[in-house]
Amino acid sequence: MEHDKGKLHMKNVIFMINIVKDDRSRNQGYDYSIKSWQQYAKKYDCELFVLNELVADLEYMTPHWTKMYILDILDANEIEYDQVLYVDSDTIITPNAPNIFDISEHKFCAVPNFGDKDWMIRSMENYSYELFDNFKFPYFNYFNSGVMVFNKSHKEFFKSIQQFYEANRSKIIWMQKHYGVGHDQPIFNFFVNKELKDEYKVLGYEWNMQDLNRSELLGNDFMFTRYGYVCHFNCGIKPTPGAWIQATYEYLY
Amino acid sequence: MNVVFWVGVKSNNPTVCDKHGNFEYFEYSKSTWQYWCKKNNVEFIEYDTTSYDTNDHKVTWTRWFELELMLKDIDWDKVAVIDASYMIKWNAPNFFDMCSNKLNVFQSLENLRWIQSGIDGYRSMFNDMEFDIKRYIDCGFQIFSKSHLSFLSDLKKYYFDNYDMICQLEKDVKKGTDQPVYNYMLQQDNIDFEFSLDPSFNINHMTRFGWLGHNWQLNDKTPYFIKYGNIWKFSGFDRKMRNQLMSQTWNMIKENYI
Repeated sequence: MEHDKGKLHMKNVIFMINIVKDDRSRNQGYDYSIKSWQQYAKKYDCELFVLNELVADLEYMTPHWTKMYILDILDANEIEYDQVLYVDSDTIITPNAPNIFDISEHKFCAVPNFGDKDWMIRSMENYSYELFDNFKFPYFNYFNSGVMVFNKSHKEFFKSIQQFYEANRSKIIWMQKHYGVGHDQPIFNFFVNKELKDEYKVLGYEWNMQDLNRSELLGNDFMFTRYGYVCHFNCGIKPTPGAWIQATYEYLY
Repeated sequence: MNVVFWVGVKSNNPTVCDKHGNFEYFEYSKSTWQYWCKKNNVEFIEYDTTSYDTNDHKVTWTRWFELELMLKDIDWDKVAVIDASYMIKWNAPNFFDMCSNKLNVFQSLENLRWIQSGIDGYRSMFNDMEFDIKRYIDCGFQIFSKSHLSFLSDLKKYYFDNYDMICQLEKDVKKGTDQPVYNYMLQQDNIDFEFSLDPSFNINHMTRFGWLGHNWQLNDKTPYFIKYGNIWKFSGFDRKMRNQLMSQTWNMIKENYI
């Protein structure tokens, strides 16, 4: 684990997961992502915490689920914090991005899922049917879990997700394999929409620019860097997310 | 009294007619809006003819110029201006009850390259003003109060004062008709507008976002857009497909409008 333990006053924390488990993950350009967030952390006096160890055996849970232990990991490392920003490692933050912690209102914040509604609605409906007693929430509340802001007050919330995972682990693993509509993301969405409701603040697309092919922003002119702040290279962009992460970093910094 | 101002003027230009598949889709749209207006005690006003020559002035522009005149004999509170490419679900809630007196619009996020290119293409016309793309709106469905009529008058004046340049940019930039200019003027004039209605009232670019699909894994055949949308906009694809898609939709749901 890499982080700066030098300062004791309460900072905001940027948390990333960079677990290298094979050649594929080694070549995804995550180092460039981390470098961009290092600069953002420095600019706004935040602590960057990069987790590079698994918290559980891969057989027990995929690395996606590590997100539900973030506050525990910070506590275990004796890190004092105010708010936490979790970001996926296939993102690049632009140098002109404002301080996201200033707009959070100390709420749980995320960006609506942009992209394929077929995948997203199956994710919502299948998990609703199989695991949440047909609980429904508005489709436009469904968020992408690649960028999330939260704080200490959400400890119990994450504990509930951990307990839910433990109680339903085999069904969740079956869901992941059988339906292929998400790992942590659908579960996080159900918990936020059930338990947080008014505590959930929706951020604009500029804070998590997903599926850049679909918005047609992706291109050699880097138009996406003019639109917003968090460039998220998900949804299988070609030639590879790693190539875009590196190229975008070199273009911006 | 609230009003739906439904824009369905058929062009007599053969090229435009061909591009729009002879506007057969107007009937499907109109049927849904008429039903919804009656059910919700909303006045339905059909804008189906214009005093302007549509070869010189596109309906996307003239709708703004003739709105006030069309409403002159009605005691209205708010008016929703809506294109004939939209259909409303039979049981959609009354959106007028959910809106403030500000100009109510929808953010456009579908094809950001197209939007950014439009902004760039028209920038010189507005003295290189800073434009906030995150406040770019879709002109196809807006809800006005009387206080906004002065903005439409300003828009009309700007249009006729700059007619030649607007026509030229429309040909050169190819990023819409009224929409880029309308957006620039909204921001230039500091018009107070808001995105108060949720996105289910403006389901669009349905092919791009997979709205036409259904949950095949749970064997539910209802298309997503019908299940989750309140208002559907049939755009973002070749306009020749519009008749077919709107006709298929109408045939699937028409029993609900009796």
